[in-house]
Parts: sequence; C-alpha cells; structure tokens
Amino acid sequence: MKKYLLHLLIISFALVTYSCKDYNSHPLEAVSTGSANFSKYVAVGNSLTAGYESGALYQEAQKYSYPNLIARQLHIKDFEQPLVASPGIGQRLEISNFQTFSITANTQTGNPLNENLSRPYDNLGIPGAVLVDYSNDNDQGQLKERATNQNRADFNPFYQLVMRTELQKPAPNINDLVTALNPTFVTFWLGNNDALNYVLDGGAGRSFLPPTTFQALYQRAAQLLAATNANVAFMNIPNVTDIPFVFQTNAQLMQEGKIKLNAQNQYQLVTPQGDLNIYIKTEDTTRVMMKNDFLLLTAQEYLTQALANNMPPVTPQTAIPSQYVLDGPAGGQPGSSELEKALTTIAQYNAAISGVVQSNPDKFMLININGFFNNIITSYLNKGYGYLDASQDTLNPVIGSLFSLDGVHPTNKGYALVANEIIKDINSKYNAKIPEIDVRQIPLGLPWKQ
Amino acid sequence: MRRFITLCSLVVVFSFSRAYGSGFALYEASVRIAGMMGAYVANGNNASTIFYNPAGLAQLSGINVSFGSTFIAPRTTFRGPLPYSVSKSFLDKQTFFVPNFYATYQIRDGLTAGIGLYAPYGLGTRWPSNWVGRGEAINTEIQTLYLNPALAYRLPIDGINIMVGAGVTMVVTSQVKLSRAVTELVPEGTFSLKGDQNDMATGYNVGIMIQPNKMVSIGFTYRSKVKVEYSGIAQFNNLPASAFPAGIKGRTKINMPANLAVGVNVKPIKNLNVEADYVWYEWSSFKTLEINFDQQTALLTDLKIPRDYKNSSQVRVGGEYNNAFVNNLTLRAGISYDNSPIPNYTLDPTLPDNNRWSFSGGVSYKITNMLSVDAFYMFIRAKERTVMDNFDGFNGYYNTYANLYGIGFTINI
Repeated sequence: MKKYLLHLLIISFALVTYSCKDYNSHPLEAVSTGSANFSKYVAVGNSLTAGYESGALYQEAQKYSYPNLIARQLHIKDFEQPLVASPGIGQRLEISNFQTFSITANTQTGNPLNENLSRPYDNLGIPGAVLVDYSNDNDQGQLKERATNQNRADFNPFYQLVMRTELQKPAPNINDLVTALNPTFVTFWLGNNDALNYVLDGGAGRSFLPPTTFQALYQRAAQLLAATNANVAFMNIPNVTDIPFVFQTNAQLMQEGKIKLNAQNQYQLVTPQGDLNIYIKTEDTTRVMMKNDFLLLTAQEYLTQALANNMPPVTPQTAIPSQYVLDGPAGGQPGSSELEKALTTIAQYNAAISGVVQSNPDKFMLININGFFNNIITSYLNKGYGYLDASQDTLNPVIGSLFSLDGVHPTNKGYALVANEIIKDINSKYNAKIPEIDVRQIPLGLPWKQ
Repeated sequence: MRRFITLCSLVVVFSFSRAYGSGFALYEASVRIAGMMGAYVANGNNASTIFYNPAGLAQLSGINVSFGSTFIAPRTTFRGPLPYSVSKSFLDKQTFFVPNFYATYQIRDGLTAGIGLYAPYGLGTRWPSNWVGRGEAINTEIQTLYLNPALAYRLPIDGINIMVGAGVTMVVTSQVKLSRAVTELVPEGTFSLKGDQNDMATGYNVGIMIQPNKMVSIGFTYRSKVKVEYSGIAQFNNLPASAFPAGIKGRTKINMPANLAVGVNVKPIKNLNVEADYVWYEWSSFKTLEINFDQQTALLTDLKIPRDYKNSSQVRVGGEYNNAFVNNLTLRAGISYDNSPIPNYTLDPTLPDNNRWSFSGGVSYKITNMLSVDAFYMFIRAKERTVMDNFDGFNGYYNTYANLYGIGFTINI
C-alpha cells in the first residue's frame, strides 16, 4: 500500500508539472496583403486623415485616425503621427451638459507630443490642407505664407505641426515628405476642403476651387506619386449634404416639432401665433425657406439668439443670414443655388479623380468614399439606421454617433468605418486579407467638459 | 476549547467569501474534503457532509465540529486583443479567503441535526484599471455566504443502511461588485456598482445515502437554485454629472444554480476508501446579467449582458488513507475534471474560465482523540481559452491557473 501511494504521488506530481507547462506561443498571425506591399504605408490628406474630431486635433482622437487604424490592422509598429496632448489644437468642442446636449468650446491648447521625430510622420494628414499643398510648385498655393504668417486670415498652425522643417524651403510641399519616406503604399484624400470651405461659410465666404484647376492639380499630384515606388489609393470627395453640419439641423428641428413642412414644401416655424413662414437670405435675394434649403449647424446658435431676442425669422427683415443657410433650388436659375453648385462641383472633382485613377490602373485605385457616405445617409433616411455593427447595434450619420460634435468630422467609430471601407477595397483589388475592424471595440470618444 | 470555537466562528462571520470556480461555483467547502477533491457525496463521515450530502449526517454520533479556511490564489493572463495584438495583460494578484464552519449534534441514534456555514458560489477578478480591456471589466466580485441547517435520519431497515437528509439553504450575506471604464468619453471615467442582497434568499438541499454492505456506499444529493436580488448605489469616477447623476440606484439578480451530485464510495481494504463522483450544475439558469437603474440618462441605460451559460459537469475522484505510515495520520489525494459552463461568445475578462484539471492532496493529524488538524493543497489548471467571437468583439487568449490551500480543525466529542 505504501508503494501504491508513492506511485500515486509521483503520478500526481507528474501531471501537475505537465499541466504547468509554459504558455502556448501565439505569435501574431502575419497579415496577408496579397499583391500589395505595406512595408511603408503613408497617408496623405487633411483633417479627415489626421484624425481631427469635435473641432480639434488631440491624441485620444488621433489614435483612431483611419490611417492609424489601418496600420494597426496591418501590425505596423512604427506608424508615427504628430500627436497632440488633450485638449489639442483647435478649439475642442465639449459636451457641457448631457441633458440639454449643450456644447462649449475649450479655449485651451495642448502641446505636440511627438515633434522631435527625426523623420516625416507616416500620417501626413494636415487639418485645413488643400489640394495644391501636395505639389505646391513654386509655392503657387502660398502654403509657406499660410503656414508661417500669423497675421494672415488664412494662417493655419497645422502645417507647422505636421511639416516642420519642410516649411523652411521656399516652396514647401507634402510630396517632399512623402518621397523622403520612400513609401510602398499611399492613401491620398485631398480635395475636400477645396469644396467644403464654400459650404461651411454658407456660400457667403470662401469659394470653390474651379474644377479645371482641381483637375490639373490632381493630375500633378498623381504624376508625382507615380514617380514613387508606391501603389496609391485615391479617395474621392463625399457630398457636402452627407454631413450633419448640413443636413442635421433641419431634421432635428423637424423632429423636435419646432419647424414643419407645409403642402407647398415650405418650412414653417411653429409658434404660439401659428405656423409662420421662415425667411432666409440667399446670395441674391430674400425668400421663404424651402424643402431643399439646409440650415447649417451654425444656424442653431443664431436661431436660439434670435428667438431669445424676440426676433423670429418670420419676416423678410429678420431673415436668417446667408452664412447660416445652404440654399437649394427654389425655382430660380437652374444650377444657381448653393446646393446645386456644391453638388455639381463635387461631381466634377470626383470625375477628375476617377480619370486620374483610370490613367494608371496598375498603380492607382479608387476608394469611393462618396458612395460609402451616400449609402449610409440613404440607409439612415430610408431604413432608420446608417450602419449595423456585429451586435446589430445601430450607428447613424448624426452627431454623437458616426459624427463628432463639429458635425463635419467622424467620431472614432466613424473613422473605423472609413478604415474598413479602404480595407475592403484594398482586399478586393490586391487579393489581400487584411482583417476588418470590429467597430464594437472602437469607443465613440466624445469629449466632455470637466 | 469552547472559547476557541466561539472565536473561530466570529472570524467566519466577519470575513468575506469570494473566490473562483467552474463558472463561479466553489466546491472547496471543507479543508478535509478538498484534500480528496470533494469526492464525498457517498462518504459523509465528517460534519461538512451538510454541504456535500446532508444524508451523511445520520451516521455521525455525538457532537462534531469542523471548520477551516481556504485560500484561493487565481492567476490569469490575457493576450490580445486579436486580431491586431497579442500583448499580455495580467490579472491583479489577489488571494481570496473562503471560510467554512460545520457543527452537528446527534439527537438520538440515526437522527442527527447540524448546521453549516460556507460559500458555494463566489468569484473575484480584478484587472489593472488602465488595461486594454478596461471597457469590458476592471473589478468583478460575487460573494455569498450560506447558512444551512440540516437534519438526517437513518431508515429503520434491516440489512441495508439507508439515510435521508434535508436542509434549508439561506443566503445570509451576499454582495456583487462590478466596475468598468467608460471609454465612450474623453476623458474616460469609471463606473462601479456595489450591490448588497436585498432580502435573505432561501432554497433547500436534500440527499440520500445507501450502504448495501460495509464496503460500498452510494450517495446522491441535490441543491436547489437560489435567486438572489441585489441593489446598491452606483459610483461614478471622473464622469459628467449630467449623464451620471449621483445617487443612481442599480438593481440586479443572479441565480445561484441548482446542482446535483452522485457518487460511489468503496472501502477495498482497511483504512482506505476511494470515491468517484459526478457533479452537475444547472448553469443554464444564468442567461443574462441584467442591471437596471432607477434613472436612465443619455449615457446610462439598463445593461443586458448576455451570459447563456450551459449546464456543466465535473468528475471527481479522490481517496483517503487512514493511519498511513504512522498512527493518527490520514493522507488524501484527488483529481477532477470540470467542464466550463461559459460559451466562447460570452467569455470575457469578468470570469476567464475554461475546462480544467485539478489535483489535490491533503493531510489530517489527530492531535488528541477529540481534535484533528487538517490541511490541503490544490492546483487548478484551466486549458488555454481562445476566444475569437466574443459578443462584444473582445478577443484573445486566456490562461488561468490557481493555487488553493487551506487549514482547518475537526473536533469530535
């Protein structure tokens, strides 16, 4: 019996020791990139590429920029971004009250955290960048002045943040930074600001870049990129009506019962005195607000003030100023409305982009982000949801879901959808198997006022 | 001696009972029995039979007291999140203290009453507050303490020894805690809820033991489900008051599942008995963890966390050898295999469980005719768990093991 017990002890000990064996090794499975080469991925773009959210660039949002998310899926370890400490550069919009959904701007600025990197950043997204910045031959776009002269109205501090010593050259440009990195793959998403600035000012401020100029500049950028060893994914321009900055205010006021649409497709303000026509100013006239006129996000504050001062916009004298409205076709000269101008211009831009991609199908591909946002909005308006995640939770193209507090830039989750769109297209073009991002694991990242 | 017992039972009352189990069941309800891996449903020669099979009480004469403490030190690592990272995160090192106390009194021959205090369910996991899965879980705890008065009777039948027993299971104290980071906001904050049991929840346990001869004993026991309801005030750290107003009350309920055990004990030679048990838990009663708040806000709405546990079973084999090598020394050993009740898609860092092997060894030494000291050691190793389809998309590899040890005393008067 003693012997038996001893055997039992030995066997038990052996089993324990066996089961204590070290962890199975699980190296990260290599990502199959098919015929694409991602050994050096560089992203070119504007605020949408930088990971700008809620009116500012700050590291909590930059972590979820679509280029950084793509790099993460590709297991790229040294994908560098010009990170900025919270609350970032810009004036970050923060929710100050979740019950009233009040939003305030944070006037503080965060410091750059990665400014001593001894090479260009892999994410070259520059908030405010326009198409000409890529080539900027002979400083034709005055990038140097816009980046360095603080007295200019169009001074933009983000050039310094991203481009740094490049700005010492007489004609600084993004292409120099890209070629210095010797990329094997580039995503390119410029051109939004060339159209968007017009819309953000309600057609009353900055103008469009003429489509012929856009085409020439895009071809020049493509020519420079073709000279590198990289394959390039060009992303086209979403419609301006697909951002909450443009479409959400009307929808929200309708939903809250503050305005309604009558049988003549005119918007009316609901007041104790009855439903009254709303007047808006357009570029050349003052008229009643119609179905295709969009109150911009900035109009919300204006309207709140106007109502508080007992000056409701129900007479031509108190009409809503042009900069708060993107006016649609209202029976005037066809194509003369701001909305039509914006949509036509963007269509022309996108035609130019498609043309460039088709000119070099071996190295270039198109990511149809315009179609992607269109689908989400269409789904939202027709089916009541924009996107369903893997748990069947809905994500909508509105502020606080897919869009951040500025109504123009996506949230972390919105950027994850953009990244997935790029990944899907790359997978299909290059026969790659880059895993898509599980959007459930991406936090919204809404800033709030402490 | 009487004073000593009083002191120990006070310790029991003031200590927490929380730990780690297959699902969150704990079977280490006695130091002596844990040494033979809890294979005891057909044995019942100790006061802790109140937990393992109340029918066994009927064979205890005089006054028996058995009490002790088990210390459970679980260790878990997580590697992930997949598919983009295999970075390793470690569960905080915690040691849980699980007390138990049993006393029996023979009313007359074949009729014995007893009372037990033990923790049949509990769990505790605490991850670092800045870890990659903080949005899933930081701290999770379930604590229970059952009081179990029981009575057993030997049927007056000649030639065969049949005992029946029954008891009332009363959850005298129970608490749940959970905390997680709110990652939807910048900056992030932490939400935590500590819920105490509302009203004492009760259930029952019954058992039967049949001994056709002196060599063989067969046992069966059943413990009913107990539904425990909790409530408490939610705590918010670094979160906006307009979305997380102070004083919000949260409520939840957890089914402590029913379980049954059946086993055979054999005494092949003098001083040796070996036993094999099959233990089954009705974990399918744990479908959803619902947390309801008395106020809903833009960011705080009722939580419905899918659990969808499956019924699970364990096989336990153990034995004890009395007067081993020297008089008054008892040696025990055991081995068991548990099936995890948690399906892959609801496996998360709150309880990174898996099918597991356990190995135990124990010893008792009779200091006097009345007093024995008991000790055990157990090693639990869960198989590596690979989660690829978690309900929230939080995937990776979990590795868990645990060291358990305990010391206790047994008094027979």
